[in-house]
Amino acid sequence: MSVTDVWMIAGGGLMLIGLTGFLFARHLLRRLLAFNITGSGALLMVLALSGDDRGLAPALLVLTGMLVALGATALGLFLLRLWQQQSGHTDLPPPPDPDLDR
Amino acid sequence: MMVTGLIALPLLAALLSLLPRQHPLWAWMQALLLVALNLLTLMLWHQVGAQGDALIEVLLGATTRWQLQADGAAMTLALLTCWVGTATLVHTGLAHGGLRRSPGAPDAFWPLAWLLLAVLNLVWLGADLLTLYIGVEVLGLVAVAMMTLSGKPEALAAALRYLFATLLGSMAYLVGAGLLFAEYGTLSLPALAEVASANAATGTGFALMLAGLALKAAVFPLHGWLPAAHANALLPVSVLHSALVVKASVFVMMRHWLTLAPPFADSALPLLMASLGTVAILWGSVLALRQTRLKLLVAWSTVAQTGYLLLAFPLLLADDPLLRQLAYQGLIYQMLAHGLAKAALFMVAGHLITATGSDRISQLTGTGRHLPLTLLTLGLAGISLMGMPPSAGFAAKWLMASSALGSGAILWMVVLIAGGLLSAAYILKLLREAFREGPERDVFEHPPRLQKMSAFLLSLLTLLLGLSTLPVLSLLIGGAA
Repeated sequence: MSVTDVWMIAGGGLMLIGLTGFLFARHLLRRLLAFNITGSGALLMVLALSGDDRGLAPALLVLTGMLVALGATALGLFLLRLWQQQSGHTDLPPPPDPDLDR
Repeated sequence: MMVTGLIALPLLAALLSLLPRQHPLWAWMQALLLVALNLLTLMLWHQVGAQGDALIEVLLGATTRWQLQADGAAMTLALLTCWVGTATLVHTGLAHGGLRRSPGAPDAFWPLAWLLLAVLNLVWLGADLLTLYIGVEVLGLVAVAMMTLSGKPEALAAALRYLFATLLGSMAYLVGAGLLFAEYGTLSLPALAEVASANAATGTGFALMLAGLALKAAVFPLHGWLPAAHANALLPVSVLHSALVVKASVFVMMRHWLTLAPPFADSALPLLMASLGTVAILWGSVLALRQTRLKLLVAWSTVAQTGYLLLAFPLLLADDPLLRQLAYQGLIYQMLAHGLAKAALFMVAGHLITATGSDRISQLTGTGRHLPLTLLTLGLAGISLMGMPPSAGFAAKWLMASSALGSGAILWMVVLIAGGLLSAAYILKLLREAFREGPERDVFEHPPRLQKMSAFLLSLLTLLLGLSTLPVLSLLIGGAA
């Protein structure tokens, strides 16, 4: 098993853990954290896939991914706080029924 | 080089929009920036028409080059962005408190809207996976931020749901881009088009990217987040989102499709896209028809109209280059037609809500006599959405239908006609209610004239682009060769 394989398995495992949390957690903070774990796994996989000496492109891809994750987490936390203050809930209500007018 | 101005100018405008809105010169500055954007876009559009497609290289440092793809498709979408952006900003009201009777938008709307226009232009021009990734990411975050501007709790819930959807989509896209880079050592779309072959890594990467973008574009069955998001956002945000942001993800899907799908032409992928498009058209239209609230009807119609775009994807892989080109022209024209019509329709929905003080379709009774210009706008935009002549929507569907008939895809025609009838049904439902004479009321709040004109001009464009298709279509020759 090569070093790349180890990183791939680690990244894939992290993604699986994160996705499980993303799909099953109800609390919004948990879902946001789960997203961050999934994101870390994805970035790890991209780095492992692109190998050592392949130029600037993969590094830029990963750097963008990190910045996006940071921005999205900040935005998510801000929205989550607002939502909690306005509605008193820490999870989302079930999606509205497309057929019914409320 | 001038092409980078399409990104730089709105970025500069976003920064300038941070200046205090109370200043008397603020509205003039916005008007000036809009005029500049219109002139620049038209000039570049004309230039690309005269010189043909171009890969433009921007030097970043000594050795690193950044490629932008300023082809006919990119310029057509830039034109749509410019028109819808201008109409929306004018509609929202340039002067502080200038449109007294409309609720307007909070200060944060202006820099975010300009930022959105800049990133949209980046997406149209992007020629490599990195640029496109940055584009769709920033677009997603800006769009989420804009959805919360209405301040309603429902809007917050919808924005959070949209945030999670767009994040999940971008993760899939990132891993897909990583897989392709590992396989081919390049992120550039033109380079990938030359080397891509049908193997497992390419297939997995391509599928991941398509799925991620489909989630962002609200492609059936990943459309769950869209209706609530559009129905609860501020009106100008719904306009920009349904006309432009949803289209950006489909546009990126199309760029990837033209690059990576040809090796997979014999797989089940084209059939899958056609099936998803078909179900989206039927399901979205039926649900639009069943809505009792105005904005939800318009939002569900977006789900249906995105289906038409998907339906063109398999036709882009036809054996005959002429049929491929017809499908390509039809696809881009449908993006243009739907963007203009949907922006006008959302604005009209806002005007009717202002007029009746209610979001209920059943409350429209009597508006037909009192708001003739608004109902004319609704009719013009509706004709284009139904795909009836003469309209841009008809031209787009005619091109796609010609390509489908050339390939002998008869079933495709059935879907097209069924979709047209269903869209006619939900548009006519609005018109019927509006022109029904009822004793209930005779007094309506009138939206400001500037707002009525913005919507009317957009719907007029769908008519003009239906009467004269050549200026745009001639730019799209050779695009899917």
